Amino acid sequence: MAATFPVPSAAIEEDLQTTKVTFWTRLRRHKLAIAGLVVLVLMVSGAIFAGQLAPFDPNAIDNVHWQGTPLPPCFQDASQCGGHPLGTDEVGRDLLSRLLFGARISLMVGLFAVLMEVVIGTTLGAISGYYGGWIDWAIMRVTDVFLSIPLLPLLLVLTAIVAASSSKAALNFGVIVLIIGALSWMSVARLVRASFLSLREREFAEAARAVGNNDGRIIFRHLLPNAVAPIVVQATLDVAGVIVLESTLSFLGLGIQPPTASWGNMLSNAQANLQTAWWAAVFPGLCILATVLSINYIGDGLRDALDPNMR
Amino acid sequence: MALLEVKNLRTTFRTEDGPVTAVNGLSYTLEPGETLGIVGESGSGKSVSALSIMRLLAKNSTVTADRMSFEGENLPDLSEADMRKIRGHKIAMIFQDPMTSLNPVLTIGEQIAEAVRLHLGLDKRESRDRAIEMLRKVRIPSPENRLGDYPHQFSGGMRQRVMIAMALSCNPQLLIADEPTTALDVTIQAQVLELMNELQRETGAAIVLITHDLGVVAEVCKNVLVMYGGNMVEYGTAEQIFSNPRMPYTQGLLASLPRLDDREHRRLEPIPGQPPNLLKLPPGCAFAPRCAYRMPVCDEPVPLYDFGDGHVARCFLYDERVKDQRPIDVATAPMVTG
Repeated sequence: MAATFPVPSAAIEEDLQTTKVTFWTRLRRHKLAIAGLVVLVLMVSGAIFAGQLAPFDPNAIDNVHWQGTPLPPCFQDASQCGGHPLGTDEVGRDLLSRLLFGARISLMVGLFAVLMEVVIGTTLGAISGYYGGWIDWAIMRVTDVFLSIPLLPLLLVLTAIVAASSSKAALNFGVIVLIIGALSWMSVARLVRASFLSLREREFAEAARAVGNNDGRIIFRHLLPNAVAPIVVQATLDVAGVIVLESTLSFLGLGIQPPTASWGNMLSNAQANLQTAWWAAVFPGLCILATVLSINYIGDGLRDALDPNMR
Repeated sequence: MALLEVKNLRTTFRTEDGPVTAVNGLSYTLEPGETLGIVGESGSGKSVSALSIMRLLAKNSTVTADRMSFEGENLPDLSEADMRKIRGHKIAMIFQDPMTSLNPVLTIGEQIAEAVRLHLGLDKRESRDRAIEMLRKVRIPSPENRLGDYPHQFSGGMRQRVMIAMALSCNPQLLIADEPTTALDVTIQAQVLELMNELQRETGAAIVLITHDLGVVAEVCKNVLVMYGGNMVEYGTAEQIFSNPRMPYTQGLLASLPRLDDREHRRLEPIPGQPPNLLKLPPGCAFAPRCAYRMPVCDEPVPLYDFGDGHVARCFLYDERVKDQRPIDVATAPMVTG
């Protein structure tokens, strides 16, 4: 047995190399994710270049054409639309312009609120799952408490408090993001905790300790990347959820305050005229639907592409 | 001065069924550059004793030792921060299964460079160069191109060589290899062992090789420590252990293996009975319930007996005082004192 065996030759290693598939090749295989990406890129560019793309001032009332009823889209009745491609809302503001500027608010609320919930949820979940014991117990009980409070009434109470303490105008973008983010981290925390409970027992976690890493590096450098897939999936789902949640808040009058447009408050304002002016509700609704759907497909695609174990 | 000195190491785990004694009074010393094989069956405390030294056990464990010193420093006295400086730097470890002990989402370049960056304070470029150098040493072809690859892009044998590269990247004084070849094919095992031998000659690191495979021990180890029931039952050079085993357990282990020089095609003899229950180890010899030569005295704590040239065994068979109770006739040996 003491003889020296030759190590595998370079030729064999070459074969192994061919199995190397990059992230992009894998993502490209996911047709729906690519479609979602295209739609989302369109939405995002619309939001970014709203100032250049919008044909009208989103908050200006068209005093020339508007007669007290919403103007229809041009493709439905070109003689009545007054140059508004998608018509106007119930007070005569250009719908397309409001959709473009509303995309800014809705997408940013979704992005930043989810960013906040991911940061809070991941940190708490990782500490909870990694250390276990009484730390885990304490964090999980806090999580349970947060989970057992019905989200919507709490949101309403909080926004009402903020609105009462200063004015309704204080319910701006930042406040809405803070409130939603601070109340929606629990699912991420539980998810990350569950991942960490199993990850910390894996042999590579022990190997990382044996190399001399401290807890912080083990948690964030070695274990967290292994939990990215579920976090990404949850986060994309939650971006969609937050956009819907912001709409709900706006619908109840406690979200982004008019005249600032968000898809949610456009939708809620449209309900009074739903029978006569379908466009004022359908277009913001379609925007929410398309965005939420795209983000979900992208989440799926990312999950498959990011996982190095799946080839 | 001995590189590693372990004296009366005792490790217990708190479990729902009561305390489990995994290591029960283990003592040994290791000289710089020495290769020591620790052999024993599952649950004999081989791995736990190594993890006790590294202080890597779970929180439900209690480790006590009269002394557990590395380069003259008593490890239990060190702070956790000082211990981290030793792990991966002065004492490195290789784990059993290279499939699971590499992080699947970090490139192997990052994983090798990490230890170097942590302990030697090298910057990104220098640690990258070091990683390439180490991969070349463990004979990974075109290491520059493989740094960015993930563990799943390597075969099992290559992964274990990557583990060795990681472990040796900071030039440790002591390498603890916990069943490094168990998960590998026999041909790959030979490669990996040969590589470890070669790198040891080059770096002068001492190796503790934990295994249940006596063939591996015979191939690479100068000294052998046989464990049973959480304690050492026999210690000696590989030559002494293989040609002249004293403890009935060691004899049983060897009898249960096929031998190349055996002309008679004898049947392999398994050791009857079950490994000891660690929840209630017997007060005397842990092997006594399975031992063919059991005597009444075996229920008392067993001292070590000295067979000369460093060869010792823990068995009453060789005690002068119970000469007339013995079921077989063997030469007596003096007790080890101190």
